[in-house]
Amino acid sequence: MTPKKLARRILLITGIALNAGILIYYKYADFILSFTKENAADVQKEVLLPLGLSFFTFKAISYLVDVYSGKAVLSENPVHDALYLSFFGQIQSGPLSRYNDMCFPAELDGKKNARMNLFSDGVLRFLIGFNKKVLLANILAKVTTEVFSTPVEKYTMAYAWLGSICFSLQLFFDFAGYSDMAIGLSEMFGYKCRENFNYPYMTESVAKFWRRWHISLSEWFRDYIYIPLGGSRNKNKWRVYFNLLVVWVLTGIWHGAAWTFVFWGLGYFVLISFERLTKLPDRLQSKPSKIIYRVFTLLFINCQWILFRSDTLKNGIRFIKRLFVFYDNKITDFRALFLLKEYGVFIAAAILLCFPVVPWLRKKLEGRTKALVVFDGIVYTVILGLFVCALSFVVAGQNNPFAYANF
Amino acid sequence: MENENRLKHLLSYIFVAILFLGFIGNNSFGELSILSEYLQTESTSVWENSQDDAKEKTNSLTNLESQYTDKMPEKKELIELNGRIAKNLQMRGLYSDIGIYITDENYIISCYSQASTDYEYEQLVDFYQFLKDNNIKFLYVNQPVKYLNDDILEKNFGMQSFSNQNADKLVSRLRQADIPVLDLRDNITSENLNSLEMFYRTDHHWTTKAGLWAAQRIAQAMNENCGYQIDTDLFDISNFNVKHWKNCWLGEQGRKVARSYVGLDDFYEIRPNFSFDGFIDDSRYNLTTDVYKNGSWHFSYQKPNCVNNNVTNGKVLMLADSYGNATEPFLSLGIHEIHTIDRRTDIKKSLRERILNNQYDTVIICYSQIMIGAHANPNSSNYPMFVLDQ
Repeated sequence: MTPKKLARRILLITGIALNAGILIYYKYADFILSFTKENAADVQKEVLLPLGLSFFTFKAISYLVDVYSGKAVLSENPVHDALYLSFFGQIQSGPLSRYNDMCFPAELDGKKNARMNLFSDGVLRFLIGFNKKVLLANILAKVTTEVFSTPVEKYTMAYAWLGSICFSLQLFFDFAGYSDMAIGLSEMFGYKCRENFNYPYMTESVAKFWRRWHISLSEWFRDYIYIPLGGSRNKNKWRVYFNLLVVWVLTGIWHGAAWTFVFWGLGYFVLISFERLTKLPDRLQSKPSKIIYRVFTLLFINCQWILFRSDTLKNGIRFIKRLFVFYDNKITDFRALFLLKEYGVFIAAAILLCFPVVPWLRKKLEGRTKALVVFDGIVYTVILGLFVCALSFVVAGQNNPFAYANF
Repeated sequence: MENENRLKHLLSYIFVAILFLGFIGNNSFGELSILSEYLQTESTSVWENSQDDAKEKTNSLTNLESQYTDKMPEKKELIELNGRIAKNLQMRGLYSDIGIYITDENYIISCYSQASTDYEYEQLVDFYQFLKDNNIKFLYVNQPVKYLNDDILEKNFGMQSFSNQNADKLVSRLRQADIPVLDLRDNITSENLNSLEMFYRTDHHWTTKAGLWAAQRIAQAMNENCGYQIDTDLFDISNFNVKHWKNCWLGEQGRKVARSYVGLDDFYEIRPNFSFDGFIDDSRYNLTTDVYKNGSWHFSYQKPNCVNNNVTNGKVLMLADSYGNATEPFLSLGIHEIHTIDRRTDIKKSLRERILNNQYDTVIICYSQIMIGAHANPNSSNYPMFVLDQ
């Protein structure tokens, strides 16, 4: 190795260690202390977690590695680096854009009205995201906040199902709404931004779910952990599973310093390994069996979100138990029915919008210019109308923080 | 594609116009100092790392947000729109996080958590003993909430409320300790009254009519327990001029949601046939002022500190909450001298010293049962209501 290469490698390792060290200190020190010392509570620090720490650390690491591997060119202006790391639209919850993403889209360069078109796309995207967050995620959060703060022993089966389904929907619309707003803001400022979601609940399998959910994070782990470890091309198949284990444990821990997140990550490792071993669902031939596997996948993801949201592993497991075992001969209670009636419209709308309804309708009209103009006009009017409704919810104090801001 | 872009451009023009008008409309440019102040606070204390700082930061950020929201142009219209959405979707618990549930009769009711009543009981027993040692009479009056049966929340919303159970527990313990208690819920039940109708729909207080009704029952209880001889006919409605204002005001809870969601309330202005002006703030009865800006009509009645020369007997201290605004002005008609204390605003002065110095012959505590359990929460504004040992 030449001295220059060695110096580059040392700088890379130092940079990664420095960034990871800061992340570990702020986010994981208490967690590590909690199982290394008996008197952990006495020595735990009370440090405020810097906003977006997990996100800008990962962005910084990706920049270092990309420059090292030649995928990105080191900027001559440190201000550009700082702006890349601290772009306000992405600081809180991503998407985890790469350094090369933060530029004016090449495909639009030189085209008529290119900047205006990008800005308008950004506005539309922002409005969609804002509506998702305020009109769906925030409203559904009312149900989930109540359910998750009620002692598990009081749950009926219906109440548990309602709470878990609402949380699955809330988390999607909250995070996807935030991502849409971040992408919209980036586009308004003339930058491209990575996509983060692609109708994740339409997934065919657990492995494919992560190609649709928090895409920028999955791609980060793929590019900077999984592939450097050898990825799936390793001749030793056990090594592949070990690589998967590392990725999923890290994914879990990245979301939070708690055992619930570790087991949440391990849950995905087990199911993805299972799919890899059994080649499911690709080997399924009949449509009903594929549908059954999809339902199973959604069910698994739903249970995983329960673990993700629960304060302790024990409570998470007790919650999941309530989904399948009914106690005191009660399937439902009045509260569950009341909440269903009260928020039924929002739940139904959320479920419907988990599918690409609008793109599907638009595709049906392709080739019919006038009909498309009318359709687009109606869609944009509805989006703008819903934006005003969403503003009314914000002003009326119905807003709450982003669910993913904690990470 | 070209058409699609044109429509998108139009959408973005509208969006930018909304932002621009919002920025101009709420004087945001003039409010940048708030942001700068906030950022300065952040930079000076960011490394101090205490939980208090974290709370402070959260508060300052919330304040910053609410200051911007408060000045949002068309804010009132947006709140009304929100109420209309909730009403059209027939949502009765959308605002439950701020304690608002809507009954079938379109009344706002709230849920209350379980209380041990230990603190209240101990304070009252000790206070009663102090009064007894000083030969001062005492009466505890329990004022109801809108519902007399906690099951109403369970039946309508599937929620558990403990307001009446808490009151039952405290009243029963006080009675066992031989402390004179008037539980107005008993009167409502024995007189076959509808408790909901005694309250405003959009406010947690009871109406002036209920206040007058309660004054008569309290006077009766004072006659029975405190050696008074108040003429309870004084409180007969026929001795008063009643003016019915229809759909004239929005209660404190109603303002938190929207007029379009709960509608407006009626108000009964009740004045004795003789001069009573000192207790009523007429300026509130203004139908032209915006209901959101107009003060609460309930507080047009003021708790008295007065000498009534039409009556020769009695010097009473009342410890009261805001329900008392609609009760005590009427009760004062039957007592020579009456003073009122609200512990929420008066906690620093010594209560016991004041009782002795002023030579009251009777002390009455007249509290809504929502006060029971408030001492468990130091952040509650009602926290000091049962602090009686100072």
